[in-house]
Amino acid sequence: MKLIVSSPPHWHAKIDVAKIHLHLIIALIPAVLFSVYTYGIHSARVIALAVATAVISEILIRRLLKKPVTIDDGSAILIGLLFAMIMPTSTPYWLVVIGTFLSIFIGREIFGGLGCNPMNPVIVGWAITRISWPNYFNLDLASVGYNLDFNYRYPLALLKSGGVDQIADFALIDLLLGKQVGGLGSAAAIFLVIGGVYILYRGFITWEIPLSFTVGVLAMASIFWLTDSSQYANPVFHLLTGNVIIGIFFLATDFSSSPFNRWGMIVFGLGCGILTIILRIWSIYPDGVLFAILIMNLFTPLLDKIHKKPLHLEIKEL
Amino acid sequence: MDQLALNRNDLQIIEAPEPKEVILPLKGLEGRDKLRIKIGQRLITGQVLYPGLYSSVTGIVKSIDSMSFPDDDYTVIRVEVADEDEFDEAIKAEPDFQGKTPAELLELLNRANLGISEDLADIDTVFVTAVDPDPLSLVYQQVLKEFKAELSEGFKLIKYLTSAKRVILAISEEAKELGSAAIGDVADLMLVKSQYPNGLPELLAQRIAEQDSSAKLAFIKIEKLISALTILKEGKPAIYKLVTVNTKSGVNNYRVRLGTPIKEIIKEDELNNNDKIIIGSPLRGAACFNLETPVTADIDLIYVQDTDEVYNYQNLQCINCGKCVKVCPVNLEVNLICRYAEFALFERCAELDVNACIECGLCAYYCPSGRALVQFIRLAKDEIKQQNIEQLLVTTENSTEEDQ
Repeated sequence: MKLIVSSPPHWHAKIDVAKIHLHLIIALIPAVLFSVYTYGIHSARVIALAVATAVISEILIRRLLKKPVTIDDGSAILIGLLFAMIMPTSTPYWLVVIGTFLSIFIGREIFGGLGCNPMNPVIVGWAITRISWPNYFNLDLASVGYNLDFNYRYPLALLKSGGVDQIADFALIDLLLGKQVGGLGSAAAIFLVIGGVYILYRGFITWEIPLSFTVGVLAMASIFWLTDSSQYANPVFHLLTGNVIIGIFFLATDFSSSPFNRWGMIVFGLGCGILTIILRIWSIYPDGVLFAILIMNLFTPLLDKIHKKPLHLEIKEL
Repeated sequence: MDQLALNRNDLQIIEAPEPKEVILPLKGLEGRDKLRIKIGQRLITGQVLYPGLYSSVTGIVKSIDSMSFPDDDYTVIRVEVADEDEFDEAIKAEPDFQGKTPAELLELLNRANLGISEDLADIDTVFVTAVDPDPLSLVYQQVLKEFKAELSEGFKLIKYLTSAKRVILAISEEAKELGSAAIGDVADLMLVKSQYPNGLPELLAQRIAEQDSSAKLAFIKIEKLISALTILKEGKPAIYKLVTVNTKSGVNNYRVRLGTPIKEIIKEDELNNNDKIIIGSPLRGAACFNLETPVTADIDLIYVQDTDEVYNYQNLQCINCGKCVKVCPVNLEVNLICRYAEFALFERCAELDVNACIECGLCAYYCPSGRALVQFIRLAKDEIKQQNIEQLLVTTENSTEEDQ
């Protein structure tokens, strides 16, 4: 009789990294489908190219560094997909390739791979391309040539250039239903909310960051709006435009670059929300979400120090 | 179904057949030279074999040799069991325990193989655990159901023995009515959610300490308490243990003679190659490698895990998801501790209070990377312990040099 011997525990919840990433990808599918439905083949082109580049980059880099190739954990696919979601439909193929490669290489692999990245890799790739080739990020131009049944101007650019009067004809319900110009997937607010609620319900992400991020955006926008509603936009408008929804559910919640303690997560989320509005109002960029998350990523090690000390109890058995 | 739910089941106790041979280990005791027996000698039930070790059967000593257990090697005494029990006269019934002093009572109980801690001073609150601490275990609720009428007598015994002011009965939420009937006005009730790890004594203690931080706590398992009452009533030593046996063919609560080898409870035809036999909880227990391992007083559960269900923990990279931190019942930063341990930075593990870990196993259970987190924590604890000893040695050496 041969018996297996090992150290406890002898059970496991049977959840692995690949399963978590698979469900995060599933949660993005409604927004992907909506994007392809709205923008057609160009949207599909960017998504397919980004995902393929991410996977191939990981294989190449890992081979070069003589590390085991781990594409089967699904994280490269997720990075590629998320990168595509925040890019305009009109992004040229070379920019997609460069951006995704940078996400994988600078964003993740040079820090040691999955779990070691101090900043969200998707946003790192995005930020480098955004600053290096700003002309390709003009979302108003991205919608040229489409026969869209909604206002084809980018709401946040209008707000930045023309003030609050310019955005009067954006109905909030249209913004919610994704009838707005934005990143190719990030504009599909309601579909991202559906995906986000799914991963929250299944427990793949926790409620702290999404909730505090939302509260941060709404609270900070309300402060400005209540002071002067003729100059500042409605808080709900801020919540539904740009990359806020995708940031709340999919980007700020990146495991490695966000805090793991409850109160750290709450402060992190609030910080993301508050910085988002500050950058939208005072920076030169129309949308501040991704930079806000990137800045808060840098505070993560500090926020992780917010932790209740464990109670050490000696207990006597009779 | 939730795997970590604490099970509830209405079972009847099955009397396990008396063993042909028992194995009595000198656990935690040193040196077989102090043994008061030799091979071929006839033992009677309750006889002293060594200070703190008593025979659980009547029979002939067959051999004295050593055997490997999951934690260490021990000297074991094999006894061939006779048909009839003959009890040691030294143990006498004491139905009215208040007639003796607490110290005399303690001596009597320990003479009858109960193994109660000798150090009973400085205790003001005792809690009785009547909730099964681990999934699959059904022993505590069974004892509660069978002996509910005797519990209030037991609480009085504890108060008398330890001079504790307060006794608390920890019970699962589902057994609330049973509990409130049992406590009378002698004890308080603490309701525990039927979900691992809420029933672990460490966490029950934490709950009590949160309400009353000055409480000096101790606990006793309900089965031990009932054994104490039985000893006082019948004047016979504690020689049986109730064990939940969970095999592929079913779940049973057996009353087993102490020292019975596991192979007499689990038949070999119930086992396949590459199964795992777990002594104790599926999250905390040790895997058994020897079917001769005897049943001892600390075993509540024997669980046979099918080879298909055996999970192999690996050492993949931590993805920092923070699940381990969220599920940790004592609030440790498990992800950091384990990465420090991985790179041999044990002082940092100590700074993060790794010694507060109660090894409930939840972090590893939930880890999506399948990391062997409990092993890392054990490694860190062990290294810290050894380094502390080394530091102590260094300081004493230095001071002796100075003295000279």
